[in-house]
Amino acid sequence: MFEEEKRKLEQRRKSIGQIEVSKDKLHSAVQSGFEKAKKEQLLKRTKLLKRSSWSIVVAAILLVSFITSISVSPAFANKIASIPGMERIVDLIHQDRGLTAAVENDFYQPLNLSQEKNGITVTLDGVIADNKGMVIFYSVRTEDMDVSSLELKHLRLWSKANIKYSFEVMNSTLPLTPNLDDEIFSGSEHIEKVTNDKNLSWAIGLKNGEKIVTFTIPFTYEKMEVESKNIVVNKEVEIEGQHFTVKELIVDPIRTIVKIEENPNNTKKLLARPFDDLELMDEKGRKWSALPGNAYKPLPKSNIWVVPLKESFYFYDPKKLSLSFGKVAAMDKEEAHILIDTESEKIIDQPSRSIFSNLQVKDNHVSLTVKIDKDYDMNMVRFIKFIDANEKEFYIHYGGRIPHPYNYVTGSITISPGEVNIEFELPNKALSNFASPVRLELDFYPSWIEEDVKVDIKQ
Amino acid sequence: MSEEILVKKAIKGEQEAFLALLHLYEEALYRTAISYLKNEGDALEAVQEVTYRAYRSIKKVKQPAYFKTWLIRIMMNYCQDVLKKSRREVLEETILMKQGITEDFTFLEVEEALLNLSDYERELLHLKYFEDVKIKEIAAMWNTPEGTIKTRLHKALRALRAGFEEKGEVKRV
Repeated sequence: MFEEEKRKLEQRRKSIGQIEVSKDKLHSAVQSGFEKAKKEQLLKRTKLLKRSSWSIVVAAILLVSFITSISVSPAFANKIASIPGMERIVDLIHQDRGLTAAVENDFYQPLNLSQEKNGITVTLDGVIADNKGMVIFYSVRTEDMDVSSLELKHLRLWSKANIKYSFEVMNSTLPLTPNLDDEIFSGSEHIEKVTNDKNLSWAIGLKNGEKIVTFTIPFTYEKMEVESKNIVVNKEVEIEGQHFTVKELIVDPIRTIVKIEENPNNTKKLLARPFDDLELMDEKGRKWSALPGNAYKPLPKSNIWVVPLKESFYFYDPKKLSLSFGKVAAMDKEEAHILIDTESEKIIDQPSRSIFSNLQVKDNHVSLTVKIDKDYDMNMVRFIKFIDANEKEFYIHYGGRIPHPYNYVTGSITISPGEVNIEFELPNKALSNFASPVRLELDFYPSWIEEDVKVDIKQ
Repeated sequence: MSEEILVKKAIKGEQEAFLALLHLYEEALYRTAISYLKNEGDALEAVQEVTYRAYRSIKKVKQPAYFKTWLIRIMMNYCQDVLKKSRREVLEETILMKQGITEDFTFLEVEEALLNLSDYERELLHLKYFEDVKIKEIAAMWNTPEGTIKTRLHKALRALRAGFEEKGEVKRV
């Protein structure tokens, strides 16, 4: 009985058994776990509050794409009529001019692969894929129940045994809301980077009452055979005395990104979400704006920022393009930190406009209050790490996946309107040579630079 | 020194005995972590964290003979928590791919089927078919009759089979 299952489990065990292990790394992992336990034995731990609001933010991102109305150009109407279920796809993307144009240019690949389980049918409707990324369209139908009684738990993209993309709904609930008037739920997922593997599997986990039902649909697809339409810019711009270089635009059918270099000699430091207001305008007055909250540095130590746009203008071929920055989140480098004396419980140094108060150190736990005006996005308030008097770095771990470096301490963030309470643990002095004062670099602060400057990208 | 004596010393609070035991089983812990988490960095952190947790609860070990299984179970609990907490992110190529181990064998079917099992079922299959723990020992650890464990093991295998069969139903519409 179950010989086949046992054989597969055995094969899996053998494969995992073949993995090479670094004895040194394993040894030091045990050692540091042991040291952590020993030092904690010395401490009286107070329970830190856990943070849960992040999951709601994640959930909200997915909801953005659900739309209720639809407007279609006449040329587009034929295309929609020729592919079954196409109305739902158009409905999902009609606010994204880039994806709509990709569909108009025949880059939508219908797949229509379905899997049925307990009266629930999940369909992988189709994909749009360019050389970098992929947008996946899927839908959920039900027979005897209301589709909105189901909740989304996870979306995953597999390549062989490897998860290439994973979207998990954590503590919050994400009920499936049917679009249009029918009983079908349709959704889409934009995956920025997909491997070259053409044999993938799309998995979706749905919560039906207390049970989680997982659907897995293997599929193959073609990448659009199109070249990127990159635009090399290399133009410098000055905003309130700070210098930036717009390096280039990487233009692919489903995503356009702007690469910006900050001058290392700038006196101001860019903070989190620096380029949320960035916008491009063409000769017809059409605008393409940044996808807020998505700018990042591919290499933390470099000066290059990547700013993805909400929609790609690949198919629009603008003749002229000019770029404006709007407000750029930045503050004086010299002020971009706070310095805490953990022994005297005093903030020795902080930006001239004080937002930090109420410093307390008890049983090696630091607690600090951050107060910012109501318009500020308090989700940005957090410290990633701190440096002690010996220049030793300690990462602050707020829950979720454990950071890779072993030198981390536990922390927590409690957000209330206009106020955030940050708590973190101090390393034990006896074991880590930790020494006060503690320096925390600022990546958030209500400070912006703004100047009405435009960069001509294309003339 | 026999393992059981080491365990007894560790329970009494002898740090050297504890460390010796952890180093003895670190590779087994690592492979369990890899089977759940799939990459080196996460698996090493798991070993670190499990060492930490084991030290903190060493006094709770009731059957020194089953110390290794006790450790493996802490590891499985930890991994299940990590998997539940893992958020939206693009994972790197996993270790199996990097070392070319899965080239000729598709893991996906088993992995996805395992993800569909309950934590308990997966734990049971892992102990029996990954760690080769005897049913007698599992029964003793959970204070459950052997017959019951056998029944549950069958149920878990059946659930795994159901996972495979469901995959076969994918069709074009």
